[in-house]
Amino acid sequence: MNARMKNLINVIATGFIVLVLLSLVLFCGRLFFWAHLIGNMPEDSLRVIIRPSGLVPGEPASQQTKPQNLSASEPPGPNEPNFRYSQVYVSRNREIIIGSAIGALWDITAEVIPYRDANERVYYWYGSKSDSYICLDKRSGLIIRNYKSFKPYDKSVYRETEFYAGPNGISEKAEPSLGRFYDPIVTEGRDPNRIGLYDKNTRRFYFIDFAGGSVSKGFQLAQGDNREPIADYSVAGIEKWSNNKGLNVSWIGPEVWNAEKGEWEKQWLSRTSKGYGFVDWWDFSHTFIPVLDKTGRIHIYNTKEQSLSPAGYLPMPQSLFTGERQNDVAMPGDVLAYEIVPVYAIKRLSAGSGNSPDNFDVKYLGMCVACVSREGTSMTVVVFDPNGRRICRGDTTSDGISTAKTMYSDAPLAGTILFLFENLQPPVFEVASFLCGDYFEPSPGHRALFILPNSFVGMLGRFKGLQYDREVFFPILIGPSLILSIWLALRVRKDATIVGLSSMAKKWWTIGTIAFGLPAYITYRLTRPKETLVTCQNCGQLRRPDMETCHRCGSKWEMPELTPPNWRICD
Amino acid sequence: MFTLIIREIEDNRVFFIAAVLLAVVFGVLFVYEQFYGEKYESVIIPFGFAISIPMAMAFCAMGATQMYWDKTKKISALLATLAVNRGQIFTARVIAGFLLVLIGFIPIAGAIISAVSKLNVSFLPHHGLYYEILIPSLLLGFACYCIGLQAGWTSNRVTAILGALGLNVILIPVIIIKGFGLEIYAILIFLIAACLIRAWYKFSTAAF
Repeated sequence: MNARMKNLINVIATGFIVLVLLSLVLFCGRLFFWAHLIGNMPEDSLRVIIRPSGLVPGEPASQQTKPQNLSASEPPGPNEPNFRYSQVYVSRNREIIIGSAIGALWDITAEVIPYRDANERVYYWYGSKSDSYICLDKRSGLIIRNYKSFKPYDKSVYRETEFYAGPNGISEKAEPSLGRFYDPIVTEGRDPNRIGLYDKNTRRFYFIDFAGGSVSKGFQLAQGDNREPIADYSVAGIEKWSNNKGLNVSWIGPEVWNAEKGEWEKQWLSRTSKGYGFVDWWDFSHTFIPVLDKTGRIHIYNTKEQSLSPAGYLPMPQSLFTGERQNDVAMPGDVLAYEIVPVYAIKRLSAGSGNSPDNFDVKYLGMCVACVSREGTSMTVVVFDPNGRRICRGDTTSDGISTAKTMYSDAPLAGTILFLFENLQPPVFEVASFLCGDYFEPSPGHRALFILPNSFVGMLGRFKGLQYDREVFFPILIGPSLILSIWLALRVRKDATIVGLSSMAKKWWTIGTIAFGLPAYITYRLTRPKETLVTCQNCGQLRRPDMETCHRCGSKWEMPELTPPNWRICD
Repeated sequence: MFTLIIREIEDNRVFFIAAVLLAVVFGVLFVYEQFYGEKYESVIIPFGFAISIPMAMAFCAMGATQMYWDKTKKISALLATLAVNRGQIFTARVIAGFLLVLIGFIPIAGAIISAVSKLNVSFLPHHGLYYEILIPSLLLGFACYCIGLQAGWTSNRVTAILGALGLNVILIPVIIIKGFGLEIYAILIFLIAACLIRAWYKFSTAAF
């Protein structure tokens, strides 16, 4: 390896070290001011209330109401003396949104599911008390339900059994006749003995009942059908169906005033045979199952009629450069958090405690869908009727303006410093943030060190409005970074001339500094030749002592003697 | 090579003695807690995490010390007159540094394993989470050592100390920011490689 190659490798290595360390410093600065902006938002702008929700038959038109000092458990005062309407209450936790920028916290608290182990198993559920689990064995394509029994007063395992479930049935042995699931979507269930899954390969829904020992095949999407479910609401019913990260959606049913007891009573009669009761998110009968498509569309899978009909979509929250885009559909990767809460009216038809679909009469009333913008600056909730039509939309606002905009205008100094911190990033990363910020997942985007999808320029890159606006704003947003880089490049060029770098080296350092800005400049300062310069006897400027000729005038060390010219000046 | 490694360990015996003592104490505590300890009580967890940052500083200090003494006392220039070359000296130095990181990491590893198993922070047989946290933490420890190699290459003691301290303060949060995914592996491995390349370049082209 020659000296030039060694030097090049040293420059690249130094550049990488500088880039990483500088990016960490800038990240901390950005995080501080971003947390300040989020923390500065008023409490009201973190909540959305829609009342009446419009999902209960007979209620007046739904509308967004101004959040007051409320909590989900303390609904507002009565709309009428003895009755209050149903409401959708959505709130987000600012600490958790800020926490999305702390990767270690996020990774540990996320309880990464599904978890994969070295045996090619994907785990969906683990019972810490029983030490039992449900997993997919990728080699055999079977779902495994593990049971453990323990000796009383002893931790040792008394008996361990495993059941294997495939599309064709359940067995205590992994038999080929069970068939195999290829790429199933399984949702953790409240009842680990009952699992619903969707197989991406066969495009069919299944229901596995380990307690009953049966696997039932459900609806199958036709070959030409371009819907691609990415998550289904577990047939067994799960706690919440969401990628919930600091988002809480609750639907509160209508309540009546009980004068005798002196309290509000909820109209939840689902466990009795007295009449229909209102239930959010958990359909006991497993008749209607929401299915989220990768495009952000939500369908309702009717297990009785074996049909899949449109039910709603993930709404696109507002951002700094977008207005209220009422009908825009967000893909799951477009939002930091989403939550879907279906609402049902359920009536038990026969006495008994069984949760068989035949024991219930269920009406699907609609659903509430809430999303937090990928920057975490705004939140939107939309209520859909049973036919998937939008009833009402609510956004987080402050004085009627979206929080995505007021967040910056309420604290202009913090917003400006945040902008300046972003502009200390290399211009090449700024351009990359503009062009491909959309390709990053929202949550990792908050922890990005190099390409910043949640920066101002990244937000502009995602703006699918008029082309004119992008052309105007892009140079403004990238301007400070570019100006800084050009100024640093000029300084590098000037210094490179003084220290005697070759014209090729000067050219590459200039281009590199324009592209990589501050990190390139620091790298140059760390790797530039450090020889002490001496005065050239020919031109009088400083020259390198380690070079044969002066890099300014090209003269050698030994100056030729001055020879008198042949001409003379004569009168 | 073995002699060179031994010599490096002897030259930096303060670090090694401290690391071995801590590793023994924490090892005994860990074994005791695993077999006789209370389910939700632990001494290792708070103390292990409490010493993690000083330990990272110690790794960095080791790297800085190796390079600082070499720069000021011209140790490698002397050794180069014997039957060893600069490549062997540098390799022995890095191996000794990695050994220190491994020994010094024992208390931190004990704290991580105890925390994951006792606090039940995640789901299922925690083997995966152990590795997910342990390996990046170990890499970070070695990266701190490598950063120390950068900071120590100066003849000014104050610059070496402040440089090592400052660079460590900047580097340690990387694991908190990026978490335990693939990105942290990529960043730390490339950073370690870059640091070693730069340290080797400086070491091999130094004029004595």
